[in-house]
Amino acid sequence: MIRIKHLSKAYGNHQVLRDINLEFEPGHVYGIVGANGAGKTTLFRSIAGIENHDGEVEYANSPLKNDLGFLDAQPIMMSKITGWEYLKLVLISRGIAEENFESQNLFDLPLGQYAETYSTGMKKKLALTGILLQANQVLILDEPFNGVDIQSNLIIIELIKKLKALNKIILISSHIFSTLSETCDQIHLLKEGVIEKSVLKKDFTALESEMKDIILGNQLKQINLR
Amino acid sequence: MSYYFLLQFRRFNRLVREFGLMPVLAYPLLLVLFLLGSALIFIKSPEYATWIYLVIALVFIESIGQRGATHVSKTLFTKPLFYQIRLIENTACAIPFVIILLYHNAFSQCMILSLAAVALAFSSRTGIIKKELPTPFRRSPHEFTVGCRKAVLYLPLIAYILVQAVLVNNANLVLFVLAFVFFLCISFYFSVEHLSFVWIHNKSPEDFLRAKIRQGLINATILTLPILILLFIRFPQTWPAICLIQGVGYLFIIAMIAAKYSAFPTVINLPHIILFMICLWLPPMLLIVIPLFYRKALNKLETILL
Repeated sequence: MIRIKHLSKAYGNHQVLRDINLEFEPGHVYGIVGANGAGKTTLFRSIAGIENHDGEVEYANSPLKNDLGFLDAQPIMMSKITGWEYLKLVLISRGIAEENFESQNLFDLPLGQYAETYSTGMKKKLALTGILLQANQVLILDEPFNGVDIQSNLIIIELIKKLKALNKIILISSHIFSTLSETCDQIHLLKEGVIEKSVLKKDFTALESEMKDIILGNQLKQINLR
Repeated sequence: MSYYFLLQFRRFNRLVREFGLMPVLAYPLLLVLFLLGSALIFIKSPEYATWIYLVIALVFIESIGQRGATHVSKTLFTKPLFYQIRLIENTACAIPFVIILLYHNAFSQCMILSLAAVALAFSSRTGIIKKELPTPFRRSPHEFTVGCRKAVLYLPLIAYILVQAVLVNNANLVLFVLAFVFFLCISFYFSVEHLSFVWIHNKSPEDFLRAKIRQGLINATILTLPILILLFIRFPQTWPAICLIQGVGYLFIIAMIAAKYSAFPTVINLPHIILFMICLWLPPMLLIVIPLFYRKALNKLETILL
């Protein structure tokens, strides 16, 4: 179980997260939703320990990062490194000697090609393959469906279900509500750095319409469409 | 177009400030370093200086035209304007080298450099970038895997100098190549990987650094092995110099790795460079500098890895 206690984060005077208190249990999928700039990525990065923050992140097998697979919203690829070498690097970092990537190439990626030349979706799929091969107990997936084709989206949804069955803890953020409602057990609505609402599966439909109001609001009236 | 160059000027100034230097001091310092470096090349190896100088100038001009550096201007400007910018950039970079070559009456090298600077402005290097080059370090990414691919253009130069050295029976030239290969190995650690590539490791800071150093030394040995074999077969009498260069080379690699992670996730800054320059002048200083960088690196890594 992961227990987050009074997590806050500020960049200078700008408070991004305020007093976040959450619990994540094994065998469950949790969604984090919110408008751009609500603090989703910062929350994920703070949980992962990439960002310094106030408050605590408790995990039974401390440190959490050694059990954690983190999929960045925009995965970083080094220049002049092939997809195969990226996977090797990701596994070496966890002391895993695996090299048979071709047979586990879930998304049919051109592993012999430089990863920097991959499209956004391919980079995301490569990074996801990496954290899956690491066999992490906890997975944080920041916008896993963005920029990825429909076929791969379906694969990712099925993957999340399988990982849940394997008793993993999974945290996802997405702007595509249907993908969250299909995979998550609970969704937390983050607004201006505060968890405004936590909703269980039965109330997802109500949350979706509420989110439309929150995110859209009167914003469409601001632009003079002709 | 003038705004583009103004932005480049601002970017350079910001880079200099990040490096820990005031721009107003950086420009005269750069000029002095350029003149000193040029003088050093012509004093140390007067025979081949003009050619070595030409290669350095070409590598420099080639590097500023890499895909990453020109990508934004290529997408923003029309084709004629883009090539105009590239031509101005290449000419501006070539001028200091041309002046030095003219000073040394190296007219043919001067001509080659001028023509190459113009040609490189109109050439597209995406073909080289996209080609996956094999390296012996595929199974141990990433510094040497990336470094070897980026330094591939030096290979023909190294091979040429080695052949020449054997033909003219010049052991010093081979020793120079050995030192140059070590310099290349050290340069592989200049670029800093994204924080997540360090964060991802499940090692303690000590284990992480030790693994990096062990891998660096193994890989440097693999790269220098052909030159070592050549030296021991062809010039066995130079064994003290070989051992000295190899030993100091290893120490510099350890120092560079420790320095890199002592500044991580930013690039090494001016105090690091100054210490390296002192060590270059007085290599025993490495025995003081390495523990200093190593301790700092452990502290830096502790916040990322633990």
